[in-house]
Amino acid sequence: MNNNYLILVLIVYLLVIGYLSLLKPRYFSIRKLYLFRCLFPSWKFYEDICYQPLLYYRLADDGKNFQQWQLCIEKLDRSWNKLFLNSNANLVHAYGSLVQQLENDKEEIEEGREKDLVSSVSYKLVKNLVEDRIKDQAKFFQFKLTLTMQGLPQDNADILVSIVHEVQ
Amino acid sequence: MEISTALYLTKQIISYAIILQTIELFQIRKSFSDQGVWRWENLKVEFEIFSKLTQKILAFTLKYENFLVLLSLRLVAAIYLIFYSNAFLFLYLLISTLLISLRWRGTFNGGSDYMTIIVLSALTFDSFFSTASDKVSLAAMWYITIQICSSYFISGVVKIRRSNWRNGAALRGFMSSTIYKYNAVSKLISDNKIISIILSWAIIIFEVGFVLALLNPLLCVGFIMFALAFHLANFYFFGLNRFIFAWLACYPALLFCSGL
Repeated sequence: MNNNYLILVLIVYLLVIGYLSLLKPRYFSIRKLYLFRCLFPSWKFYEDICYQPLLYYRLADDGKNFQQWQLCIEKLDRSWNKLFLNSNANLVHAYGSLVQQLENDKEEIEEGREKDLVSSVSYKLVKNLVEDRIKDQAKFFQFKLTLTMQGLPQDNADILVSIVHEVQ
Repeated sequence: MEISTALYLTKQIISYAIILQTIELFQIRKSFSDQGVWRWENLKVEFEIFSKLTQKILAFTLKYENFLVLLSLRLVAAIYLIFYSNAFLFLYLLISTLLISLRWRGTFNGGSDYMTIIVLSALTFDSFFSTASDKVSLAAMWYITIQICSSYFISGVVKIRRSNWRNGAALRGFMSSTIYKYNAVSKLISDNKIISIILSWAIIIFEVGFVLALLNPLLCVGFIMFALAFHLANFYFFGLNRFIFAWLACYPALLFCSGL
């Protein structure tokens, strides 16, 4: 690029977006904007390690005597063959976003109105996800979200335990 | 590189990227079927914030059977655009990408959706208006170039201010919490502090310095090669294959602008 004017404009632009990217992010509180967030790119990829919600479930045949909690979304095997079509990995990323959305919804819910969470879309979709994973293994199930610091698997805390659901 | 070549290559690459994205969605169609995780019955509540007419249009377009039709047409349009150019088909690809993002409550795959929309917006704008002025194509190329430079630059700037990135802890944390099982390579990086610090700084310097690719075409080719290796590594460790093709579609514009 040999145009000094363009280089100057570019430097000013980068300084401005560099400064803006350091400001505290404002999250969408308006649902319409949230649904159209693909139009507002965020390039802050892998900004920092943080607490990540993990989804667990447990099963029971009678709705009372539950088995041990099990991780719902298991890790995949990687392969170079999936360079072009990696649908399972992308689906697992979508599961991760869904679980994250449920955590966000839970954070947004006002104190004393926790029961409303059960009727939220995120809750219903996560319930579908667990039901899809357990298939016909039991008649009743429960799920929970546990926060885990990335890189520190021993550092975790339950943030949501669902009601007992009957497999549909 | 001539602007016509850059435009041609951008159109080709984004068409292939959309073909792959659409096939992937077909492969996971069970997840958004009427018995799947993202079933319309549960999702439609979220669209009640729109007017009744918009709700009716979205319900018609996004319910399972019709959504499969939308994907099929998207696949056909992308294949057609490999051989011919058509402004309305670019517009369709853009709208269908928006609808897919809506069906997934905002985005399906985050960054790759953002970049696909950016490239398609530029190509749609160019396809409709480039006959009116030569500057339209130039604006489209610059729009893509500024966005790709911003994507790396912002990503690098936010990392450099984090001590976890500067001391390698962030990279080790991300490596141990990917969607994939541990293997020898990921274990080597997450267990070795020196390697993680070197790789972290390599990523930060590359991302912040990417804008230097605009200084001349030779330097630009070097940055593109490094960027490809970077995206391949992201695919290998994190499964982000869609990013490779969405970002690849931006490189012809970048190379063109570096030669101005």
